[in-house]
Amino acid sequence: MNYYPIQETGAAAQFPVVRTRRWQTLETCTPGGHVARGVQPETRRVHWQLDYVDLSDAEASALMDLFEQSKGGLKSFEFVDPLENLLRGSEALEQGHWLVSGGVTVAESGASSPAEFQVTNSGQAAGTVGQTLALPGGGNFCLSCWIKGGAGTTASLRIGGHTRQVKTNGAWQRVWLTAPSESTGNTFCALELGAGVAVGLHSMQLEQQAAPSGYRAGTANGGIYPETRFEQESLDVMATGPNRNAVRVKLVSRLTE
Amino acid sequence: MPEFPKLNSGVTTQYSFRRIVRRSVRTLKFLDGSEQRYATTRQGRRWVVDLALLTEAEAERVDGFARQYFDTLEPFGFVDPVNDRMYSKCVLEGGEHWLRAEGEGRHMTRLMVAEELS
Repeated sequence: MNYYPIQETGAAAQFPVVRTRRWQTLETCTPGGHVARGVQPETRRVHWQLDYVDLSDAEASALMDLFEQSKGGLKSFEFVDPLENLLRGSEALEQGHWLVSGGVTVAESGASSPAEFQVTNSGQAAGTVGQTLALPGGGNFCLSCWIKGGAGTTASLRIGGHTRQVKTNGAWQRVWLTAPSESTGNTFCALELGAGVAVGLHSMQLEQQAAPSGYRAGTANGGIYPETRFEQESLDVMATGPNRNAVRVKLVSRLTE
Repeated sequence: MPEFPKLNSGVTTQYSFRRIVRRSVRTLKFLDGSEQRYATTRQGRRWVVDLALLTEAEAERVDGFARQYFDTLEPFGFVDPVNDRMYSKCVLEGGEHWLRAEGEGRHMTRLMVAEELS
């Protein structure tokens, strides 16, 4: 599978980013002002407009190469939405999208927005709560969450083979790990608890950038779009100086959720 | 019934926003200069809600609301921020919803709300 190129910073996009979701509905209007509407779910699309400045020659070439390999808008590639939490269903940790180790229990507790959970590892070995995701290889991803545990309790964040141990202090604190995804295959992203450890948890988020941004609830499809295409017939890369390029990219994908 | 999303400050709109009332009239003009007028399709009120400087959570709330609406087409309640009058059956117009991220905590969007007459 082809992936949308990652910049040298490890991110996929620059500000500003515009994302537009479009739906087609069938409408029937009567002279009396009554309107009957019907949904056409198969027509849902999501569009992105990405404006880049100061791209290096290599970064600009990577975009042009993908455009040529994809034959413009003909073939699809995977794109990671820079405006979405990549974890599917981040408000429902006890449900199907999440891989929960044996011995680890997840129960809703406290506030509902964002949803808070009590995660308890009553097993004899370390356990995890996480997801396996088809992330593009080599990008920088930031896994973050708010966590609360007894003073001195330790937990770990994991992205593939990279981990970061964090110590709780009895109060809610935001912790994060930034690490590259696996170069090939899927990447496991999780919170890991040692045997007998219990913590409060909310606002778990994964995004393709170096540091955590404000929390967004993860949708059911999680922001990874494997069937994305260019939505333009030409890619117009402007060289603005030595090793400096500017380009506008328009992408489109079906909303599969 | 779904409720229009509130920002962190507890309000639903920011300045500037537009309120629109429309009444369509068709006019037939005759050779003698006289006219015959009649009202055509009734239309409810409309509001153009422009939101700027939204945090990620606020943007997600508004975006999620638009997404839920267009997925289900279920009407929602909207309170006119000027007179606090509740319009209980409103829809989003346009068939699309965009979100522009200009930086961390600097998102903007627009919602076109229309009162549905029944």
